[in-house]
Amino acid sequence: MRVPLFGILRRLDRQWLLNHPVLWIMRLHWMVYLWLLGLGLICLVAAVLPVSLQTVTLLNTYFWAALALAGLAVSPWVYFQARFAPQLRLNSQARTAAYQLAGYLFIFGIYLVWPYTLVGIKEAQISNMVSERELQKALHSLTSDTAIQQLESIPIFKGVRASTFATFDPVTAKITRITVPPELVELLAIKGIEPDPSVLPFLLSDYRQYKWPWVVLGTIILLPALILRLFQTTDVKSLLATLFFGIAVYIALLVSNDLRDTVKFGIVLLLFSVGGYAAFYASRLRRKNFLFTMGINIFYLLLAWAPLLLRTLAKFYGYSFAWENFDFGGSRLAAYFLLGIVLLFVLTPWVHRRYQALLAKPS
Amino acid sequence: MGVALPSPAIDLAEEIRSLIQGDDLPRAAKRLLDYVRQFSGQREIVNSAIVLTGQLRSLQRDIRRIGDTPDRHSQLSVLTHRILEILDEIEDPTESRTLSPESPLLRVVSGVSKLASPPQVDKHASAEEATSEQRLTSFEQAREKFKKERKKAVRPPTAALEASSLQKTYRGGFTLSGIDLTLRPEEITGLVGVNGSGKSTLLRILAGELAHDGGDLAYPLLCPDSLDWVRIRSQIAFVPQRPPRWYGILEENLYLHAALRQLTGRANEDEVEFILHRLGLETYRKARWDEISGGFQMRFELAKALVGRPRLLILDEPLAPLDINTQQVFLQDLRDIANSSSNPLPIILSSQHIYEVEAIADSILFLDDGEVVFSGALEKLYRERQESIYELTSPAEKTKLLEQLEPLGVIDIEHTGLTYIVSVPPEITGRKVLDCLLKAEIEVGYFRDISGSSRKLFKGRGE
Repeated sequence: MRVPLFGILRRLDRQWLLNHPVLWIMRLHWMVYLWLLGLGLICLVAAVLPVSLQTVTLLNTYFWAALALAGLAVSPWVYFQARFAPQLRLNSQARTAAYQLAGYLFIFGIYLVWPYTLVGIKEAQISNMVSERELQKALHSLTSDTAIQQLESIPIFKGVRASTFATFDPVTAKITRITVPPELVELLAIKGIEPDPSVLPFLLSDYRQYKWPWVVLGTIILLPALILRLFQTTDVKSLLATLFFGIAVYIALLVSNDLRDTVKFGIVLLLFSVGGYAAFYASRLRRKNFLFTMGINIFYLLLAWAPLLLRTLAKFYGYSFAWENFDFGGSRLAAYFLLGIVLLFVLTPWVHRRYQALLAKPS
Repeated sequence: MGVALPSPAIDLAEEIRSLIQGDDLPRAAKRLLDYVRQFSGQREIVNSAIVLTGQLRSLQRDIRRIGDTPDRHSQLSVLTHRILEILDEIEDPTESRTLSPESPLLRVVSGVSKLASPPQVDKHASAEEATSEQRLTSFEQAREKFKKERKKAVRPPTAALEASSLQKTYRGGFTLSGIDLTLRPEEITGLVGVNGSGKSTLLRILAGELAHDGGDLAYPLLCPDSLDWVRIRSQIAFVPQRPPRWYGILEENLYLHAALRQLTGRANEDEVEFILHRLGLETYRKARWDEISGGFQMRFELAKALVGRPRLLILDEPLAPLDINTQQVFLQDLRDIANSSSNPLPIILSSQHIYEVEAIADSILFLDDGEVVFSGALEKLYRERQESIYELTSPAEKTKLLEQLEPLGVIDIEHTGLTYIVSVPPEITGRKVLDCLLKAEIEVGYFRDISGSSRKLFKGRGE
């Protein structure tokens, strides 16, 4: 069977192999090709899967299933990267390290479109099943000032702005905003709002995890990209030590609820600064060892989260940044996160040069 | 009448002819380049061989990409004739084929398209050339003159590596000390010694993998200003004793490696193609690591090292996985690589194949228990010998050998298990020893004069 576009891809493959080794190693062309094929398949599956109001309870399952499929598709590529890309350790220029990281984020990012496409299509289908009249009836009391006051009197909604409930876009209004934890259902009952039975499944559906963009971005896109990048610039022993150490610290922070926040932030900052120190002095170290490589890795790993960490720390001490008043389109955290990504790209060549110096130094 | 050619020249010419017979034209062309560079005194011949090689590669590339056509086939045939013609010219310069600017041989320079007609021998022009003052009457003179000119023209003035009083101590107690070493382009240094003498340690230090504890190490040619290890190590090709496994297809790895060293596009293809042919890897270009033997894996490592166009080549026991034929080809290649006019390389290699290494090495460094026992050219070893030493195999008992060699003043006979190492006064020649043994009807299976070989330094060591 003749594979469409195969000839073009082969020619591109050759071209990149001879002229752009970093692009060739990243195999972007094959991955984009596979992604497009997979996207077609996902759309097909979405069209075939049955739709009902109860489907909303399955959206999480769809999401994770599609994500697993994406993971499966990306796995051989990750293996390939792990095998080939270490050759870039001493040969590549520092700026290519940033391109490489961008490539990894791009690949992990586009494959995340698969699950979102699936749940997006299903959401749209479900949304179309609920009439505007039914929706407005359900929302009428919610958007009134009294309802908001009622909502804010409940601990879990305390601090949530009225605008959060008021600014619904047509689709998410149907699916998300009225699909809230049982407390809201109780509130609706208290207020005497009788939702239409056909809308009820929304209200009783569980909290959809794919709606946590920062968790998804952080764990599914950024983290594997960073780990892959780390794997290529350091030895496995140092990488594992970094990960184990980092994970252990985070678990300790999670478990020790009584640990004061100052200590928690202190530990994170300490890790960050020790790693930064190691990175800065990497080329001057008398001996390289895995502890120092680990330090650099931790610094690198925390870099993208640095603005968020610093903001949280600043807020903890009651300091407020001037730009905190700006809303950034309702997503302040996203702005900080974006700042972290920019910081990561700017500093990646610098960190890479340190890595190279450290790796090249006889030990 | 032709000039008597030295034996290596005849061997090389025969090798080229057999490569042509075996339809291995790229390799034949490369060997022709080696041949003319070493044994031809005339720059015109060298130039025409260079151009011919380039044209041949270009033609072969076209054939590979676009396919063979009658026209290309005939061009290939013409170029093959040119190779043979150049061989003839060097072997017998008094014959009519001396190259003059008008010579059809030099028309190679102006392109394959001009070579549509079969080569014509310009006897008249050759006869004139033969009387020219420029003409060298002796082959050896020509060779010497050419070598001197080349040295003046291309030899870099600085050493690639300079080590003095280098020292390294392991926690376990082993110490490598007092290493003085200079590696210059075009020189091959053989590193020999018994197991555990510190060869690999030294090579790893030189390659920048292992830190030394004392002494000085500098890379004047690679990084004259400072010890910038990133810069230095990017110019060193180090092939370890046990090369790591690689993934993917052989040729892709080579293309990738060349591209990473900023050798891109057509230059990348040409270089990889050349190295594949030169090291006899073309059959395995699509092979994976586990599909080729240890010998070819080692060849791949060398190929990978070379496509990066390093400025210092360090090889740790490269001969170990190679069969005897491959060893010889490999060593000859190393010699040629070291002498490359475009990128003359200093090479240091460790090996237990002493005689093979000595055949190509300019100098030998012998280590024992971390210390230098001998360093320098083998001639020095022979010149400063205190005794003549011969290695032989014989079914005879040691006592019988001693008895028979007594009249020659035998100093010592050591039995290594397989061979006898016989030490006699320096004035006793090998012929005398052999005559003495044969007269006594002692069977001798193998006999070698090792007075000028580092083999004799192994005597009494490593037991």
